[in-house]
Amino acid sequence: MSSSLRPKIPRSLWRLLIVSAVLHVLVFASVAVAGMFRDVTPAPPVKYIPTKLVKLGKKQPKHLLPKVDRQPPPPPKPDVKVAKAAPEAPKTTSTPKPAVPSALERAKEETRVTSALDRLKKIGKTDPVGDPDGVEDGEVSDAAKAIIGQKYITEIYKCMKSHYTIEGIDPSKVRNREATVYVRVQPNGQLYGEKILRSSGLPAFDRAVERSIKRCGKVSPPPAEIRNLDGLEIVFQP
Amino acid sequence: MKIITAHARLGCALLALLGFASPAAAERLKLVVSGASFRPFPVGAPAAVSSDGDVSTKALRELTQALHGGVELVRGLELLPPKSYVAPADEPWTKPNYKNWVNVGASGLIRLAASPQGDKLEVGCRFYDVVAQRELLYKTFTVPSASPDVGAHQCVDAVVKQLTGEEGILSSRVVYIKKTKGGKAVFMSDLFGGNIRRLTPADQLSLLPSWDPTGKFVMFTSYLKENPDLYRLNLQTEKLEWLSKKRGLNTGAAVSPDGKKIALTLSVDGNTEIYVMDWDGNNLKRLTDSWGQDVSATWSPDGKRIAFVSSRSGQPHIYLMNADGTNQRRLTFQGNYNQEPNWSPRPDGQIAFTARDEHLMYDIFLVHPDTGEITRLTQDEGQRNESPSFSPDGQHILFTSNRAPGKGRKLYIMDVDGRNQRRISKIGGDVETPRWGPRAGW
Repeated sequence: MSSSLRPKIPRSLWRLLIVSAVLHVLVFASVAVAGMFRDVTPAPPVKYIPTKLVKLGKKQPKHLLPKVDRQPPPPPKPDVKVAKAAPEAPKTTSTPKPAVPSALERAKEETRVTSALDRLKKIGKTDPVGDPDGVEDGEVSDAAKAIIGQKYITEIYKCMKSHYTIEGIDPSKVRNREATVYVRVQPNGQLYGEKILRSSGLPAFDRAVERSIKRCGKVSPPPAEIRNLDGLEIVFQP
Repeated sequence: MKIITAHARLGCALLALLGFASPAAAERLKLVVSGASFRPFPVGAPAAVSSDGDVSTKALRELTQALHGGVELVRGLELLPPKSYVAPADEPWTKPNYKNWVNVGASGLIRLAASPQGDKLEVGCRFYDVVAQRELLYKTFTVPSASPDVGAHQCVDAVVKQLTGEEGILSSRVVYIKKTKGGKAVFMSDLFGGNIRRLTPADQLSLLPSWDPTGKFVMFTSYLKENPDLYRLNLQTEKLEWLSKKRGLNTGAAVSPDGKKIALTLSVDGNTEIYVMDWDGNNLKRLTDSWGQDVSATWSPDGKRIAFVSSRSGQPHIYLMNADGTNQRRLTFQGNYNQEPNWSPRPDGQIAFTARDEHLMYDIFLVHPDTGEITRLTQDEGQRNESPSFSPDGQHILFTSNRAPGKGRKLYIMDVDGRNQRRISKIGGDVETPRWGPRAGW
């Protein structure tokens, strides 16, 4: 009964199945063998372009440059005789200086760098902006000075911009004109002593500029970081 | 973008200032500020005072009214409402308290003081920049006692000159045609209808007056000798010259901006055409030759082109041509009755003209001479808004309108963009074809 109900598989299909099974076995076997004998050499290293962060502008005097803490070079191997191996090294009578610092110097340098790093870490963790009350001889970094200065000058700019009004003159009359005015900032922030450095050629425009400065009047006292500020040359364009 | 640029420059300057300068060296920064807001110059104009004590209250009131009216008319000035003034009425006119004026929003202050000088009035005019806290102008004008307003207008003109470098317009004059008992005559007055003077006989018909650029001559067409001839009147010597007496119509004289040529309309051959001749009447040359009517020439500010009206297309439209008559082309294509062109004296100025619409309403329009773009200036204000004439500075347009109750057309003025339309004089009767004169020539 069971044999009569089971669907008959044709002989050709049986052959096909057997061939397929054999092929699968062969494929798996070849993959396994290839895995056993595969090349274990590492991939060639990726080439990186070495870069260096530099400051643009004029080269600074050495004494103004920040001190660079260099990692001490590795200790010399006693059996390396580079000088002797060099075929055309000039012979000198004087004692050559050692190419690497002595062990004592290396130890000192390491200690110094380590302690400096420790100090920096400590400051970074506990007091990233310095003493909140400030210190008498504290100093502000150039970047911080620039930010403070920029903020202050932006305040002056905004004040000028918001009061910059040209009254009674047709816009076509002042097209392509500009007036340059010298403005001094008093310690209390009062803008004063303005004078026209370069006239627009139209007295009415020059006077409108002067009125705008007068209307601006006063800004915050200049911060100590830009106490060198002698004055501002403001170019007014319509 | 400009702010970014300014900040970029600022950054560079700050680097120089902060980090890398020697401590002793002081630095100077450079800022660029742009994007100004433009507005009229706000001025306070308190009541005129007597500097002598012998000037009538009426004269002082007229002075004050003329001062306020003048400031309101000038486009570059804005009169602060007198009720807002906080300065005391007895504030010395030579020593104002600047703070009081700054506090009410003034940038300037105009003060007038009058004193009698025989049968005349001396009007002192002071103009202060109250923000900069300094006096910018002090002038005196001697005017007839009966016309103190002239002194106020001269003061405002001087203020405008001081402020903008341009001559003021309040002291200019207008000529116009007004009906008389026996005909129509040419009249001249100041801008506000004062100092009226009739230039032609009242019992004759005179038409279409116009000015020369110096303001010393007025040209008009008149039937003084039966024929409609063209005349030129010297206002100083009162000498009348026969400028053109050809057969037919001699009219529509328009002097070129350099004063050397006169464009006019003649119908010597039966059809009206545009001609041009020298100032002395010689070298008459015909510029147009069409079957239609060619009339109403007006010069471009550079004197190189002439706009005129021609009906060669069937209906009157504005046309353009070179000053030698070449390159004639139609400028307006909208409407079916465009006439009375008047070219602005500004270099980039447009042409004002009158157009009649399908409801027989006359209104003032502007057309750009290069693009042909049309701008409407008057609408729904009376049935007849006609005869536009530009102010000497090209900022205003004088025209006639019958919008006011009562008979006839009156003189009106508006800004060149159509705003601030107002009646400027109390001249009675029916006024036609006004022409705004140059500033010089008094």
